[in-house]
Amino acid sequence: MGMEVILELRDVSKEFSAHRAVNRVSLSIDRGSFFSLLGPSGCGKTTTLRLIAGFEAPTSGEVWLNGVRIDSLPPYRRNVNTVFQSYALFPHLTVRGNVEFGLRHAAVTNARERVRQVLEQVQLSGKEDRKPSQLSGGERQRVALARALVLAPDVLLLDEPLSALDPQLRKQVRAELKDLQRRTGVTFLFVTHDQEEAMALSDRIAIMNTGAIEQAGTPQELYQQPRSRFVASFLGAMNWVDGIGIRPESALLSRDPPSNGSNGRRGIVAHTTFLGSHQHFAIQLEGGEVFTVQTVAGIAFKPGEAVHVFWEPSDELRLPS
Amino acid sequence: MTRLRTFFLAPSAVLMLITIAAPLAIICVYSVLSRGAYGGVELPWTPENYRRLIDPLFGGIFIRSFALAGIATLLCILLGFPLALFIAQSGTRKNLYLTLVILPFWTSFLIRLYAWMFLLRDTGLINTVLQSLGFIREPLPMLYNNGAVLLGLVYGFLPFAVLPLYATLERLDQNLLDAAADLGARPVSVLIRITLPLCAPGIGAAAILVFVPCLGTYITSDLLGGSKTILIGNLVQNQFTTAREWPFGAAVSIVLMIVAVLLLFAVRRHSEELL
Repeated sequence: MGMEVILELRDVSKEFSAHRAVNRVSLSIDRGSFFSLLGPSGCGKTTTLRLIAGFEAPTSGEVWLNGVRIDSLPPYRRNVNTVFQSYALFPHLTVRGNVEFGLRHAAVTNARERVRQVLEQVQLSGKEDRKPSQLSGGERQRVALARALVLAPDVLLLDEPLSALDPQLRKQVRAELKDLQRRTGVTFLFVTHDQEEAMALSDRIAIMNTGAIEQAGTPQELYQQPRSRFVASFLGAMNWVDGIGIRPESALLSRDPPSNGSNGRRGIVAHTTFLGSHQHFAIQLEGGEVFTVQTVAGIAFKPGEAVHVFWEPSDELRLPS
Repeated sequence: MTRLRTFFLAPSAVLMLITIAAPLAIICVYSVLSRGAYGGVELPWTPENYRRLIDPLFGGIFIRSFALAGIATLLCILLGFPLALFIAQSGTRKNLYLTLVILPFWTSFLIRLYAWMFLLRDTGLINTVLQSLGFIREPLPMLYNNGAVLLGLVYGFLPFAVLPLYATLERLDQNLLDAAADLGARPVSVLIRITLPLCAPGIGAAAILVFVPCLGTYITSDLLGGSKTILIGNLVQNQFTTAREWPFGAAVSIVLMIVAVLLLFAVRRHSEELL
């Protein structure tokens, strides 16, 4: 399927006085896709977003939007819009005032109708005249979305928009966000440090570490074929034995030595954690390392019991550190 | 706890009572008494002092005072806002600039006004230099007029505008300005639609801090305005000194204070509505 690239970063770097926040980042994002920049805090993902929005200028490299080079344009001349982590709603304006704000510069004729539509899309109809201070956290987040989406941006930039919500609300809003992206067809560039969030939402993910992109691909590719230890550990859990990585769900436990063809180690059950649908065993290996095994629920090994941990050679991941 | 609070609040409460409440009460009483034969006040009670204020002569003084104070306030805010914005955005140099803004307070206001007289008078520095360079033949009349008073007021009260404006601008969330630009607003538009409205409380505070003392000023108009520019402050001062009309001076003070308090409430209500 030949997808059209809407946003492209070519070898983009950003240096602040003491350090290089973004280091030769290249990535391309397909029109209409949900793309996530995933990485630990301080990895440069928010700076990358700010370079695209235009709040920072790159030290070197190019940013292309919809076939036009935009890296030297001011923010108000780029057809991208941002949902800020703190939402940055204008406190002196109502919900309607916030959503209408950008339309005033866009010279559109059917502003009223567009505001009505977008507020309906984010389920805020009837709250047009409230001030941000009179809204809940979830409602504020939806105003921030509406305010950006009403301008029909080429790319919507979202800077950790779920992190200010409490955990219970977060999963619900996550589903709503994905649904909204599908319905509007707008390209989403989503910045997060939460790997579960990124996996659940994204068509493609780029994993960033210390200013550079470690690997980009679909969630499955990144999980099954990580190219570095960092990617393997950051996306899901990973056990490391003699430089070889084994996912917790790929390993098996038994009291007897495994049959030929499997690799394995001997160890002692340190403790078990019951997690409803599955359970985790922490196994103290003979060398001293702790190895985590994930099994279905109902498998009975007691702490202190001697066991064999084993796995198929095909499940081994050999990665440069 | 309550006893401790009372203990520490008592000194300032007593001080306020003695220095504010008591004189105010005395002025109130004086304003409805008659003028004494040799200054001071005596019975009977009379509303005459307030009735005299209707005289067009005093109306002119009131209008001039309000106009000068109003223009001075406007100028202080217009000049102070860009300065405050600049300081708020200058990172580590903020404290240096703020120190420079309040540096003039280290010298007496009276002395600084004398300095202006030396600069502005006919044989002053500015006229002397301009004459010796041949730009003018006759000295420019820069002293003893409304313009000189206005200059003195703006000069003296500019810091009172800069500080509250700085305080609000410094707290302004940079994300809001980024968000406005992100939504397509050019810098001028961001200033008008975001920065200024969110700064309304600071502008209100600056307006009060400049307008109220300007309205009651008498040193500035006395030194830089000469005998021509009489303001409310000079009127009050004259009644208590040379004219020996204490009751009338008291009445003028009371009216001035009521107007100032009403303005204060009006500004406060307006800035509350905005946010």
